[in-house]
Amino acid sequence: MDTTETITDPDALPAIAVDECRAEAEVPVGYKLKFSLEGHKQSVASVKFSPDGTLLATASADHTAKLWNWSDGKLIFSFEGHEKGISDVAWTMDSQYIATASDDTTLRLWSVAEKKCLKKFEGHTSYVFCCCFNQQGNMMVSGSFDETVRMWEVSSGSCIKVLPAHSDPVTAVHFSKDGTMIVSSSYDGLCRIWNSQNGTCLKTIIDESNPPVSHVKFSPNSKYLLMATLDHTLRLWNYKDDKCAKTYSGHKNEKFCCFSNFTNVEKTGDREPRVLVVCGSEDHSIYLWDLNVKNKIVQKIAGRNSAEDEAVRVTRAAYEAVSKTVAEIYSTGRHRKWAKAMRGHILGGADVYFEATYADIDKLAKLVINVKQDIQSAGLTSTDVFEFDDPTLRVHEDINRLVYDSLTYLVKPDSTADG
Amino acid sequence: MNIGLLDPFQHTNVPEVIEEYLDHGVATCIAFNRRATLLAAGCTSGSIVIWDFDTRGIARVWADGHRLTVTSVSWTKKGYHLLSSSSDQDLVLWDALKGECCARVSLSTAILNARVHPYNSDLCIASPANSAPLLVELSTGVQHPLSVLHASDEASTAGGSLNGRGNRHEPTSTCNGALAFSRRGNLIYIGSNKGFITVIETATREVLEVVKVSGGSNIKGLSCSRNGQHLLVNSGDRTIRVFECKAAPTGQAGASSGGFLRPLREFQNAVNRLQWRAICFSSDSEYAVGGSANKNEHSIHIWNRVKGNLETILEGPPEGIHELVWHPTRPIIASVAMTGKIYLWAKSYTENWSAFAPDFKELEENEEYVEREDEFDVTPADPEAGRAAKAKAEEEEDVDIYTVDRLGPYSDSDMSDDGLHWLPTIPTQDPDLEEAERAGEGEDEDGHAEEEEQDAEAREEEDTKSAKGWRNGEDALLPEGSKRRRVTKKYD
Repeated sequence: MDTTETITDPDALPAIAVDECRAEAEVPVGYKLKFSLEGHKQSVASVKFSPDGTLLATASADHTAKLWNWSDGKLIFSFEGHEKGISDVAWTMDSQYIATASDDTTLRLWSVAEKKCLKKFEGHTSYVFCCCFNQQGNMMVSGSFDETVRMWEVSSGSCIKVLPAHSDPVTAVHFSKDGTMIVSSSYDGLCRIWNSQNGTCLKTIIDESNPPVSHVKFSPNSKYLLMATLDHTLRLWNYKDDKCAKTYSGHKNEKFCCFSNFTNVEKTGDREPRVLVVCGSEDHSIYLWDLNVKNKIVQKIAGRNSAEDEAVRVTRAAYEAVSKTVAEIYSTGRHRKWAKAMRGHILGGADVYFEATYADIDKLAKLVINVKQDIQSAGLTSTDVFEFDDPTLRVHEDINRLVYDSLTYLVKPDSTADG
Repeated sequence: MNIGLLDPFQHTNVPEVIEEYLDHGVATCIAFNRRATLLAAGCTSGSIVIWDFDTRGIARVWADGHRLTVTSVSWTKKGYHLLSSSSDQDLVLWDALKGECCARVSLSTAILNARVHPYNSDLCIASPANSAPLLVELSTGVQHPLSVLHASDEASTAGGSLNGRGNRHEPTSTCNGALAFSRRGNLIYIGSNKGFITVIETATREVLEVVKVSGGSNIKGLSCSRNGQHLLVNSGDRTIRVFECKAAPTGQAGASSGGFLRPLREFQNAVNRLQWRAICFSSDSEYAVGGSANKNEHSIHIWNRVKGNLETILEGPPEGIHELVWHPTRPIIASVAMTGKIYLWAKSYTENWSAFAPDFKELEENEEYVEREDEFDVTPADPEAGRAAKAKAEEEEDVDIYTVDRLGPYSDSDMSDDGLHWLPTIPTQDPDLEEAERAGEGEDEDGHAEEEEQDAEAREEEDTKSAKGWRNGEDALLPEGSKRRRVTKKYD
C-alpha cells in the first residue's frame, strides 16, 4: 500500500532559491559535495562531526561505526563490536570519545585515541535509537524503542536514571547547553523537557495536529527547540512561551528520522552572521533554510543519484562548525533503508509500508502482508512465525532478521523482539 | 538554564529528606566547588575523594597526599586548586586538573582547619592545634602568625588590662579552627578560644577590629555567607550567632574604626540546650543551619535568618554530624556523619503531573466548573484563520539562537564565568570487554604490563562503585547480574 502524497513535489522547487531583495547583503550559500565517504557495507544511519571539526564519525547498519578524517576524507578506523546495526553516534565535547547506539540494545563508548571500546552500557530492552553527551562529558543520555530515556554515568558505565519518557519509540535526545535539561522526542508526537539533575519532567510540548516527532534539538543558547515532525515540517519552538517561533517546510519527511541542525557561521566584519537551518529530506536532498526569513529555502543540495531510481537517500545530515560544509553520506546498498523504514513503521504502530521500487522488496511486502493476514486469521504464535521459511529471504541475512523482528511485533505488539 | 521551567514554589525552600548518600572511605570534611559540580571529601585515611555531583559518581581519588586524617578541604573560587589540611601537620595545595600536589607546607602541629584564599591560591589561613593561626604563603612556605588581638590591646594586655578583665590573655591567643575568609578574601575572620572575633586585613595582616561575642566562650566555628554579608558564629555557649558584615571602610585600612561586624541574631535550642558541631548558611543566606554535636543523633536545625524562627529540624540516622555544607545554588544540604557517610538532603520531590500533560492544570482542591457564557456558541467566523494570522505575525519576529542570558543565581557570586567546573571524564575500560579484546587479538609483550595496570585500575573502580549510594526506585529496571550494590534505604 502507498501513503497519500499530500505535499507538492519538492523537486518542483528551484534547486537554489533566488535571493530577491537581500541578494547583495547576504553571504552566498553554496555547498558543494566535498567527498563521498565510501566504506560502509550497509546504509549509514548517522554522521557527526567531532566538536573540534577534524574528524567525522559515521554509524551504519553494518554493525560498525567508522571514523573519517575530514581534511582528506580518508577512513581512519572502523569500530567493530556491536552485534547489530547502529542507529546513532555521539561525540564528547573534547572529541576524545564517541558513543554508539545500537539495535543490540546496548550503547558503547569508544576511545578515539586508543581506537577501542571502553564501556558497554546495558539496560535498554529494545533498540537504542539515539544518544547524546552533555557538555561536560560526564553524563550521557539515550533514547530507545523501549520508550524510555536513560541517563548514564560515563566514567562507570552505570545507569543513573530511567525516565519513563514516552509511549512510543524515542527518536531523539539532546542536552541543553549547560546540561541542566534534556529534551526527548518520540513517535507519540510529544517532546518532553527533563531536569537532568533529578530526572523530573519539566514540560511537555505538544502540537495540536500531533504528528510523530522525528528529531529534536536545543538551539545553541537553549532558548528554542528545533523540532522535525513527520508531516514534512521543521519548527523552531519557543518552549518557555509555548509558541512556534518559525516554521520551515518544503522538504519531504514522513517516514524517516532525518537529522536537522543549525549552521554555525561566525561573524564576518559588521555583517550579522547568517544562520541557516539544515535538514535531510526523503527526496534524496539536503535542504537549507534561512533561520529568520520565513520559509525560504536558500539551497537544496541534490543527492548524487537522485535522478535514478536507486536506493540513495540522505538520511541524516550533520552540520559542522569549523569547516562550514555539509557532509552528506549516501548509501548505495540496495535493501537497507526500507528495511529500517519497515521496522520503524511496524514498531510505530503504522501499517506495513514499502517503497515498491525493487523486485525483492515487492516480494517481501507481499510476504509480510500475507503473513500478517495469515496470523490474524489463523491465530499463529510467534514461534510459528519464526519457523516460517521462504527461499527468497535467504538471499540477505539481514532481511531475514528484520522480517523476523517485524513479525514478532505483528504477533505480539506489546513484547519486544529478541531476534 | 532550567530555572525558567522550575516551579518557583518548589525550588525556594529547605531540604526535607535524605535523597541519597555517598559512601567511599570515611569522610570527615567536604566542600563544594563554586558551581557545586564537584564535591571534595577528605577522608580519615588521608585520601581525598572528588565526587562528580551531577552523576553522584567518583570523579577522582587522590590517595597519596596525606598520611593521617584530612581535617579540612577548600576550593579556590575558580576551582583550579583545592587546599587540604591534615592531622599529619601538612597543608597540601592540589592542582585539580592534574590531580597533583603543587605545594606542600609542613607546620609544627596537627592542623585543625585551613582555608585557601578565594582568589589567590598561593595564600591560605591555617589553624594549627594549640598555637596562633597562620597566614601561609604556599609557594614559599612563609608562615605569618596572625594576632587575634589589636596590637595596642596586646600591649595593654601585657601591661595588665583588657576590658578590665585583667591579664588573662596570653600574647598569642589560640584559635580552635574557627577561621574564614571574607567573600573577596580581603578580610580574615578568626574566632578565638576566649570568645573574640578578630577581623584582619589580609594584605597588611593588621587587626582591624576585635569583637567580643557575648558569653565569651570558646568559638568553635565561623562561616561566611555566600554573598559575604553575614557571618555565622558557633560558640561554646550552645548559641549560634549571626553577624552582619559591613563593607570594609575603604581608605582607612588599619584604622581601628571598627564597625565591621554587627551582631544580628542568636539561635539556640532552648529545650535540649544542644551544643553545635557544624554550622552553615543556605545558598541565599536566608537560612542558618546548625548540626547537633550529640554523638548519636543526626539532627540538623534550620532557622530563618530574616524572621528568626526555627524553620525545621531534619532528623537523620543515629550517627553524629561531622560537617554540614549547603549547595551553592539548590536546596541541598550535604552532611557528613561520624560514620563517614555523606548524606545528601533535598526536597522530597512531588511529581508535577501537569508537566506531562500541558492542557491540564493541577488544582489545590475541587472546583465547581462554571460554564462560560459563549462556551457552546457556534461561532460563525473561522477561528483557524484568526489563529493562523496571529501565528504568522508571531513568526515574523527574528529569533536569536546564540545569545545566552546570564544566570541569576550564579551572577551574584562573581563577574567572570570562567573557571574549572568539571574534571575531564576518564572512563576506564570494562574488564570483561578487555578480556574479549585480548582473546580476539594476539598479545604483544610490552603492551601486557600496561593492560595489567589498566585491569587493576578498572577493578579498583569497580570496587569503589560497589560502595556507592544509589538513587531510589530503579532496581527493577537495571540489568540483572550487575555487581553493584544499590541502596534503596530512605530516611524520612
